[in-house]
Amino acid sequence: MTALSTLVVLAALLAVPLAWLGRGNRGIALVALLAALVLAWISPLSAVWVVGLGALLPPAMRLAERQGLQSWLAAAAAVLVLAVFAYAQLAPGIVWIGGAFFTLRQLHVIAEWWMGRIAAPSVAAHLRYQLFLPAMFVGPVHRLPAFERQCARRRWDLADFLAGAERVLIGAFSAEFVGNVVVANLRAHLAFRLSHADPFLLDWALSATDWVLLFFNFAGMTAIALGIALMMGIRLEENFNQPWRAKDLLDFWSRWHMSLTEWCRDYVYRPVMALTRSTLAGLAAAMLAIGLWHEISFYYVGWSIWQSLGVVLSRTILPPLAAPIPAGLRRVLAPLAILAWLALARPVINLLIGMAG
Amino acid sequence: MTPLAQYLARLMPAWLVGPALACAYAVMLICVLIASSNDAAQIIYIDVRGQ
Repeated sequence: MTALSTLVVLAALLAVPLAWLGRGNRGIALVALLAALVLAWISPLSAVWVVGLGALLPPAMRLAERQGLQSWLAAAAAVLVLAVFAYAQLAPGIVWIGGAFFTLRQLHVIAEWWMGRIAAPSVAAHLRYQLFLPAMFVGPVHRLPAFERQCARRRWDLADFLAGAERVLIGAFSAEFVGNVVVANLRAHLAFRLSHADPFLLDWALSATDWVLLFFNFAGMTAIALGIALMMGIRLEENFNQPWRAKDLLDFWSRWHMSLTEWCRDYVYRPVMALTRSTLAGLAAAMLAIGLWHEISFYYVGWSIWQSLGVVLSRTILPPLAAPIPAGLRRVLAPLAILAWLALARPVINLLIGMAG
Repeated sequence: MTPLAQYLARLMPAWLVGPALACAYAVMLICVLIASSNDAAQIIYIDVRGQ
């Protein structure tokens, strides 16, 4: 963990006793207050944006409902949120913390309200949701209705508290030791052993180890977030479902960073598919959203095309080719083939960008 | 019982679960403390990128 990640985890752990100072929503409001202070300390701009929009959006929603201007407000707010996200990513020198996650949460609230699935939240409920410290910097991208139910129903339960604490420890072990020590050392060893190999193959091999490192690191940090939330009596959405057991690339993306892929399924894939009646257009749009969420760059546009191509191939050409392979062997080979495809993206895209540039 | 305790209870007699759990926690904690002195690279999914 970097110093800042450690600070954020420690602040979230400090928020656990705060959460139990008040019952139900009141304790989580204290957590939100601490989150606002932490955010203001490390990135005042992010704090002003999250708290400002968090406080202004609910009354604006109620006003728009009275005037019959829901669509106008939803469109304007969504454009504003996306513009701020893009500006913060592209403008040099801006310290922007947690934006990748709170942007998705803001768009989720706007979209659900516009579709009439949720009522305009109260300012307090909206701020509690946007400023839930354990999930602010690493996700998952939790949903407002489920979160509100959890806040209202939470009760002290020693078994949950201990299970959460255990999950924090296992998550820290996964991220800090397995990821940053074991896999990172394996990667360094591999880089040394293959130093004379073809640069393309070397990058492919290192990219594969980077995916493994990323899994232990990211899944570990997510486990810390989920564990701390459970210590507060809140069960958040899971982010990983044994991605190494995926049968193909589409199955992989439904098991990896699930809260992001489910968000893109609900707010990008389905609307685009409904508009175009094309599964391919929906898939390409969802993958583009996932790619640009990581970083607004040509590299990630290429990454999105690569992932879309992989999903299409895995659902069209690969099944007849894989049919003769025994089922047991297929289960072993599938995760390796998926890892090889995911890892191949980096050397291929860098090669293409190099050729174009 | 925590999930790890339940898992250990399936593998060993009940009287051994407590000590095994304590050992597992101690090993993980020591590994985390030792590893935390390393300067780790920032990953894209932990959104403290602006710093």
